[in-house]
Amino acid sequence: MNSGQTIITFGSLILLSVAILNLNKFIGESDITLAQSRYRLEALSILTSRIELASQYFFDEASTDTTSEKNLSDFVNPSHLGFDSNDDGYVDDFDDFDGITEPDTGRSGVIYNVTYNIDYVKLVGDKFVASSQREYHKRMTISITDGYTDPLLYRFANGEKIRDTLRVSFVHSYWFYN
Amino acid sequence: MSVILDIITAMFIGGFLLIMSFTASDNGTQAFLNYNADAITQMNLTNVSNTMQYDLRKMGFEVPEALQGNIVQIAQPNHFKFLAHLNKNAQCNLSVSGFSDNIADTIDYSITPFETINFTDTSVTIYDIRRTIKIVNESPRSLIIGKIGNQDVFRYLDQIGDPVPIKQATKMVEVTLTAFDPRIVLSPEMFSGGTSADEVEYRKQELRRLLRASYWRQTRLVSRNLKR
Repeated sequence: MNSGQTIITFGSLILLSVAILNLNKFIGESDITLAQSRYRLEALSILTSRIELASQYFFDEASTDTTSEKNLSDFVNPSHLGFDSNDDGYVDDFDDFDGITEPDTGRSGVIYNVTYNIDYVKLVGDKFVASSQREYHKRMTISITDGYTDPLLYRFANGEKIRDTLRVSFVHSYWFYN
Repeated sequence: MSVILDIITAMFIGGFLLIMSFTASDNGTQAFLNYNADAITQMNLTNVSNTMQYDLRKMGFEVPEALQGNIVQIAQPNHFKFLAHLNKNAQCNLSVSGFSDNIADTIDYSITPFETINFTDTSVTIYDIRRTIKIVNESPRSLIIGKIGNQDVFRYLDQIGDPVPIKQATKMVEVTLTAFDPRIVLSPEMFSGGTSADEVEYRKQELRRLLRASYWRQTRLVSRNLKR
């Protein structure tokens, strides 16, 4: 075998090795993508459960008294959203959730951290925007991330692995039937 | 002599390359089929959960408050039946004729075994989710909306999330779905392996890895439509 044939043989070996490495890389990437979408799906189901559970609470501590209609001035100050002094750490109205972070897990066993944030919002045009005043609408933003040091749900930005957060907001409004 | 030696060497290298490419192609096809099955499973799970979410949102809709205790009609892990008024007025977008009345209707979900697939020393059962809508004075309409891997789908909980002893006490219903495609492509080793405890355990773990289950766990309030 002359040197030309040897070079061609080695060249073909290198080409084949590169093709196989690329195939392995593609399989690995597909595996990660599908695994991530699987856990995102579960995280999303936990998010929707949390929305459902949160929506059952009274709009405000003041509206736990259902005997009379409440006005804006009765509601909690925007800077004091969260647990009220008489709550003893138990949620009894919608804004008590503000700032709470708690773990949750689905059937997969993956641990997710669920974080709540509440603010007052008002309708401007066809959009809700944050308000620094008391309003008849409160917005809950629920964020969910996985609870692992090396993130399970992530994306790459500038070559670095960044933890991904799924976030859903919904608005809860005050109403009263005479 | 050197020519013969060259030919033998070339055949050896060529054969080696051919085996490598066949193995790579085989592994690639197997992975592609299994990933495709995984993607389809995830899409199906999304569709099933959307349908269930759509129905469970109606739980107790337009049912008089006095009947709150009767909204949940059947409360079993694999069978859930509840009241919802589906034809209160003509605006209800249902494809049935002459349908407006004042009687609550029922939506029924039952989980029944569909088939059991044998993987040599272990087996996997998948289940049908059957959804039956019964509108008063109409024939029941039944449809299988999907296939899942768990039989116990429904849990019945009180206000703080503890299981309830009687159905009348149910405040929340938790739905858990596990979906996977059992028609995965398995390597020959999965079937021809030995029968020692280690090998059986390995096969079970490998099977669990390949089945790639997707999960959905959602909570719905029974009394949502009764809030005042």
